Amino acid sequence: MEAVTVPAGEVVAGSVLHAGRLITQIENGRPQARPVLRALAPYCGRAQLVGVTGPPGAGKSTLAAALIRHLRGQGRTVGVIAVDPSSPFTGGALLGDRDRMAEAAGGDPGVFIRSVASRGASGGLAAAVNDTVDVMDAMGKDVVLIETVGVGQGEFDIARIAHTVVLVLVPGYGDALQAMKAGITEIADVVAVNKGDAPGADQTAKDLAAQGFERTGPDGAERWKVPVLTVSALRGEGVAELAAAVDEHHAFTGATAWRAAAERARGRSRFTAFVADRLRGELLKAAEETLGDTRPADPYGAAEAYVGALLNAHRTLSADIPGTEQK
Amino acid sequence: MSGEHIKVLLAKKKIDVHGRGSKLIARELRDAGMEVVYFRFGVVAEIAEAALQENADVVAVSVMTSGQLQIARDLIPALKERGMTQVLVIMGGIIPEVDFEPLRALGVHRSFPPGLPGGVVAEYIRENVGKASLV
Amino acid sequence: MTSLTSAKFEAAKRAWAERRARYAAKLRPARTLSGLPLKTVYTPDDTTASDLAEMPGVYPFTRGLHPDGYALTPWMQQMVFGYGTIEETRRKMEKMVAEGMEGYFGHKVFNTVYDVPCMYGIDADHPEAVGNIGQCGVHMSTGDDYDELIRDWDLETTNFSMITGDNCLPALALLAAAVERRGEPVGKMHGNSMNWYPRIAVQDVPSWEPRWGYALMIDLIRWARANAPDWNPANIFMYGLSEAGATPVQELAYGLAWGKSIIDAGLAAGLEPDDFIGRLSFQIGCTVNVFEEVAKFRAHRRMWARLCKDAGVTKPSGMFARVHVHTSGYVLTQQQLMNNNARITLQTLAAVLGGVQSIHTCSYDEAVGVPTEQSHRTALRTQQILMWESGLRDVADPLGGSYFIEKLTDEMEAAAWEIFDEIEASGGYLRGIETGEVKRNIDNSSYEMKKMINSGDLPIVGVNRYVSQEQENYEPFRIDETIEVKARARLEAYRAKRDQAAVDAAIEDVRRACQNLKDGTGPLMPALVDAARKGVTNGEMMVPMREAFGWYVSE
Repeated sequence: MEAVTVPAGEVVAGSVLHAGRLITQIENGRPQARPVLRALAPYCGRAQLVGVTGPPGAGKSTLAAALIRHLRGQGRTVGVIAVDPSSPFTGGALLGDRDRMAEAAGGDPGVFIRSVASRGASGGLAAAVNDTVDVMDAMGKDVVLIETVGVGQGEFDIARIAHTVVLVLVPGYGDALQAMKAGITEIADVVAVNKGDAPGADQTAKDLAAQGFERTGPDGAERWKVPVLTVSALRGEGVAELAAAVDEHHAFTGATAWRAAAERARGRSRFTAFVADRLRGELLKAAEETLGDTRPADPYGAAEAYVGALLNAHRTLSADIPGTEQK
Repeated sequence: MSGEHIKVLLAKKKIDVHGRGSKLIARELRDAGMEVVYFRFGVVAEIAEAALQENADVVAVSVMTSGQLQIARDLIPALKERGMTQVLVIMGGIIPEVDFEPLRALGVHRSFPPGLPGGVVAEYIRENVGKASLV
Repeated sequence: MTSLTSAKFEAAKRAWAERRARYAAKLRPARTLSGLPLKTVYTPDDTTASDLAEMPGVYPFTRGLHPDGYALTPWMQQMVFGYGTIEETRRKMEKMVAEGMEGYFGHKVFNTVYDVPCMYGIDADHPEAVGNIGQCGVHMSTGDDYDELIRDWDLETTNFSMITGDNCLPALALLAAAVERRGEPVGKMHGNSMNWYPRIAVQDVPSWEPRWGYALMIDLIRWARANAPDWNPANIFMYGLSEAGATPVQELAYGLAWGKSIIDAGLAAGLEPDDFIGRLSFQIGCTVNVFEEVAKFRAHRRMWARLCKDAGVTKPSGMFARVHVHTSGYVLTQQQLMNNNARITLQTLAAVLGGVQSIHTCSYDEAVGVPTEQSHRTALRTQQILMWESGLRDVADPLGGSYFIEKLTDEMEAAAWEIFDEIEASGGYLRGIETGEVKRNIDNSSYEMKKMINSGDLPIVGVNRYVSQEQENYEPFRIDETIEVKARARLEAYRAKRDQAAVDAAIEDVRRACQNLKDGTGPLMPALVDAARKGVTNGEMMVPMREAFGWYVSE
């Protein structure tokens, strides 16, 4: 598992071998990946990013597979980042999403599926998913689907990387449904009530639609009415309508202040995540080394003094962080 | 992200109705701390393509209804063609011992009989991952 | 029981308890494979009045289907086989008949397994068939293949069980067309369509979407009822459940839920209970856990009889759980191969003591590959030794009345009803396929069992006990890989002589009939039989079927 620097040009030219290796380096937090990602930046920003989230068992992969089939039918190339949970006990993971999507993708060079294990920390995962999106974007994929695990608040961070978040629900979830309603107003741009064959799907969709969910965007921007659709991923019903709703949302945000605000937010969160990662990994390590074998008599006070000194040092830096655009 | 994990692509023929062994080995490798992509293939090239996209460290093929020699004959060149020359390739299932050597000659690093006590395959992978080459 | 619970018996129990107390601490509590706790001894206190009120051949058939057990109707020796093209399989059929394999009244019984490409529904020229053609089953795809299959059969005395997969309907259509070509009525066909779509609950293969899978099952049942009344149109493949990892109790519970789901689907489609339920049959697994298996078969018969009665079956014979046993292949080990003969003997013993109607014995070398002629014969001889040398046939239900067996039968029944009720309450077996509930529960059992083998809690000789490092280098039966070339050549020659326009039109008719079946406006089978008449192959029929009904999922 040696990590050589991946040639960025190969990734941009669409080399799956090099892209695959680069993503592994990203997952493992290898520093070699950083300059490559910087080199890819000019080629990013073209892909349409679609998040697929929802509770476990809602049929996210099956729906993603149906979406892939539909998008391929329209001639659009697709990248897929499929996140599955790691075992908290062993650190291992069983990644089954590729299998569920295989029928849609089997042998099609227009589809690049990458299975990703959550490896515990969702903050780190969000950063890795962001970078992986860039790799697929730079490769020229028209659409990148991000399928989340579906548990926990961290999931929302990952889903929010996307331009459009599809929340997949199943009927009859009861309390879970109540809980998800909060999530709908928070993150969902499109709601898909899956398994249209199960009793109660239409009713659930009707109930949800009756709530009239709206999302408020940046100041002064038009509100987005969250459409609620019924789909059967297994039977391929309602998939075209879902894809159309996703495209409509994408067009809507692109034509309004939404997109720019979202891109700015994404850029800022990536900046903070990356800085936090390096500070944790490198600055703290350096501080510990300085401490050496000495043991501070007043650990709290010593930490306060140290951070104070750091903040002072920060103020002496130029007012602008290099490489950022002015607001 | 925490730590590095061995990534295994575990492939099983799509049309083969047997699946108990491949599912068991998937769980065992997961419980040994590995990240296991479970995958059913139609033609062998799909294994190589998936291994490439996943940048798998290990390609494991479960065989229950014969065809192991044919799979090896197709798989090894398909991996090499795609530049996957560092990947560890193993096979397991209903494979007679007498085929282990011919499979090795075709490039399969190691084959395993069915019903092994747990841990044997994981241990082999841990010891050999990253050291293999397809020549 | 009061006569037995005499003062003398009470005294014996006290003495037993005293002696046992001395080393009770050393006793390891035993459990069955299903996890039911066992006592070290069973007494009259463990039996109920109903256990003692039954006779063989009388509802609910706990003690067997026939009043005389095996005396008049010994179990059928139904060895599974099939490999290569039809020529190789025909040769094997003749050989097995010469070896004395026979069914009731000396009839020929051919329990023939198709290769996985046929089961899945692809012809020999399909790229995904490479490596699997004729390997673990026969490759039969064309009208020529089926003509050769039945060439000199007496249809009245030849029983053909077709172990198919998704190609269940096309295979029956191809057989029917071959019978017609011989100028005989389709109604003379004897045998069995497996029709076991519900196996998809545990098997990781693409198949039909559940509701269409059931619609196809019922379509075949209807067609057989109208056209071939002696044909057994559906089987319940409990073996598939246990080989996937179900415990014996889960196998019972989910197997019966599977059966119930066919009954429900048939009744919903307007069939009468007496029209089809009595024609359903079972294929069940059998491990080496002798007593648990015997109890399983006994409980199974009476549970099924009750389900049939509740469903409205009136003829007692319509409530028969007719059982074919396939000895478990999973328990066979590649380590110290010959040990498997002991396992197979125990499995067969359990099946016979359990009173089943038909048995396939695995060959000891199936842990390595396809059996050799010699190992296949030994497997058949194992049955024949039990049948002729052991005396097992002389007395019906010889374990009936055993305190232990009766108690275990009751306990397995109770445990199985509990799981059965659970799945019925959550929407039934069909719903259990869609939600993945059946698969999840069985996969978990499989993993639990593997962990017990790994830890040594479940001893397996040669695997975690008495392990040997010696290489065995056993050479299994090899099917010449050139069989693929031969199969492709046969297919090509067959296609070349067809009326292609008629073939194309017939495939279009099948496509329309698929839509009709989905719309509920017409059957599919007649269009398939017609397509078979026109020369459409197994794989070609499956193309429109997969378009209409296909499903691919794994939870």
